[in-house]
Amino acid sequence: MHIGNGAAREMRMFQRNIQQVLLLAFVAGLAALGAHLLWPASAEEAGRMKASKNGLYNVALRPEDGEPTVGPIHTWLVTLTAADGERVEDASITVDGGMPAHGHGLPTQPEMVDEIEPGIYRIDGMKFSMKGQWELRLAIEAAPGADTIAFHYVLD
Amino acid sequence: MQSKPPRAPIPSPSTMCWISRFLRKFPAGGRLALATIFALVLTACNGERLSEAEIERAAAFVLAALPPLPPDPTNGVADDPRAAVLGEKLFFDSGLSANGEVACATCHQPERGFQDGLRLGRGIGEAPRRTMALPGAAYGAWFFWDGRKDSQWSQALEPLETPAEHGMTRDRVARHVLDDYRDAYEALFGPAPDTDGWPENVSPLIPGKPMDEWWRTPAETRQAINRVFANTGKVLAAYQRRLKPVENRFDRYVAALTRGEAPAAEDRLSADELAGFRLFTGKARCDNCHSGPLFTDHFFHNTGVPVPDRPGVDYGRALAVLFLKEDEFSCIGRYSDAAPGECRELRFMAEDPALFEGAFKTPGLRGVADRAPFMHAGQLASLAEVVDHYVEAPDPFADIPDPDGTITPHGRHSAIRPLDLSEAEKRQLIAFLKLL
Repeated sequence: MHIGNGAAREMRMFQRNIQQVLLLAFVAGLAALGAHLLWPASAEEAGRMKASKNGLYNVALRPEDGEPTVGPIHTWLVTLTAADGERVEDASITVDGGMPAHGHGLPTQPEMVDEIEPGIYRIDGMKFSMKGQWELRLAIEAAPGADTIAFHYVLD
Repeated sequence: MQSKPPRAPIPSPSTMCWISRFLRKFPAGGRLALATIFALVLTACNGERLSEAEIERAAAFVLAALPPLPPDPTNGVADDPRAAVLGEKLFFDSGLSANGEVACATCHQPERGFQDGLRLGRGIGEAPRRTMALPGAAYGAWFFWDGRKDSQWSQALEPLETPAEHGMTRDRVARHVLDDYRDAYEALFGPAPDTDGWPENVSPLIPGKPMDEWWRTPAETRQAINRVFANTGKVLAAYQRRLKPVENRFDRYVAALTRGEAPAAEDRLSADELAGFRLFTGKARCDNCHSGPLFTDHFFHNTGVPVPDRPGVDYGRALAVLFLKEDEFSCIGRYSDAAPGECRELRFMAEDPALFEGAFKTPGLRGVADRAPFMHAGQLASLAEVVDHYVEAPDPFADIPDPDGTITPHGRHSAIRPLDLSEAEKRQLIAFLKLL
């Protein structure tokens, strides 16, 4: 069947329009992927070492027994090293925090209860009363001196 | 019956041509925009059912998502069926009152969700606060509106000795239980103590003669009385902790969608109910506190509810935190069955009263439409008044002195902020609440 020039031109223009729609969908998909990468799931953030405010320590903070859920009291572990990477022992750590977006503090008063291994400290009494973004602030005192650090944790 | 959300139909060639001819009328950018709109409209969220993301969010609220009942290590008979049987008998026994007319069930009426529909509870006299509903209560760590008790058995003991409620004293409670239920009691707790030589009508909580006589009683006898008294609470708790909410239409609707099925015809949600759910978890932010399968975070918030017009201020949890650890029937007390180290809720409790002025426990919302009036002193008569309250978001505690009488500039006490809801949105939110 012969396709005339008019029909061929129609077909080309149709193809171009569909291409534009597909391109838009592709860009939108990339944007969604980028958003997902920029705000990673909470589990990925936990456990990474971060420098304390004045640089005295490198600190990692993670839940001790898997992903916490809303409600139960549970424990977290703090790994504490000095700026040179050496584990720091005999530290005293206090915990504070809350939900900045909701303007309230923590629903409990967690405490450091144990140094379970050199430089690894157990925090007990943690509780999340709701989902969302929590801020956990540690104040650390040990041989290198006093310093603070804040972590964000998203419970979803 | 399979039912899928509407999908973009694959256009026929003639439709494609029509689209192409239509688009050609516009410059390139306009064509792109129109094509996008066209594509979006075809796959748009259908207002008549939940989207995939909404189904996932809704799944957190269904009854099936309720975890197993947490153990109560403070109560050695919490999960003993015989204790639950004895507890149920005691729950309905009006002999456990000074006038023989008040049982737990007098206020906690099973046919009304275990509450009484009154502004303030009424036993022998009028109580200062609203009777709380019981189903699901065992999932929280704290009991009463202000959470001043840390176990369900410890909570059960207080109304028995409150003059306005049961009006008993603990020795009378113990005697009644041993007189009428001795065999069942001993099967659970071993040989009952000898009550000869026990004082009459004594309690450390009732000022005047009962309190004086209590402290004149030898310690050994006081502990024996306390022991039977505590055990009475424990069997009452063994019964009450089994009380759970029942499945509703929302649960069935979401469960069906989660399975990828169409809900049964009688389980479908109306447009208003769907919109109400979206408001509840969106603009109205109800699920900030009314979260999870029981629609409560089991925690304490000042939500700016009207202060009742009567002498004295009800500070709620602010006062409770001052006395919790001193309570002889707490997790760390001698009548608790918990091992050392099992009382972490009490140990790590947030106890700064300033955090909790005028703060009361978030009630669960299952069955809420049948539980007017609302709030801790029944201040709001209807769901419409409740929604209006949350829209306005007043802060009465801004002008109220601290418990110690000082007036400090606090800033805002209420945890909630005003909402902008249209009349239609209010109606939709109420439709959703009625569904629960």
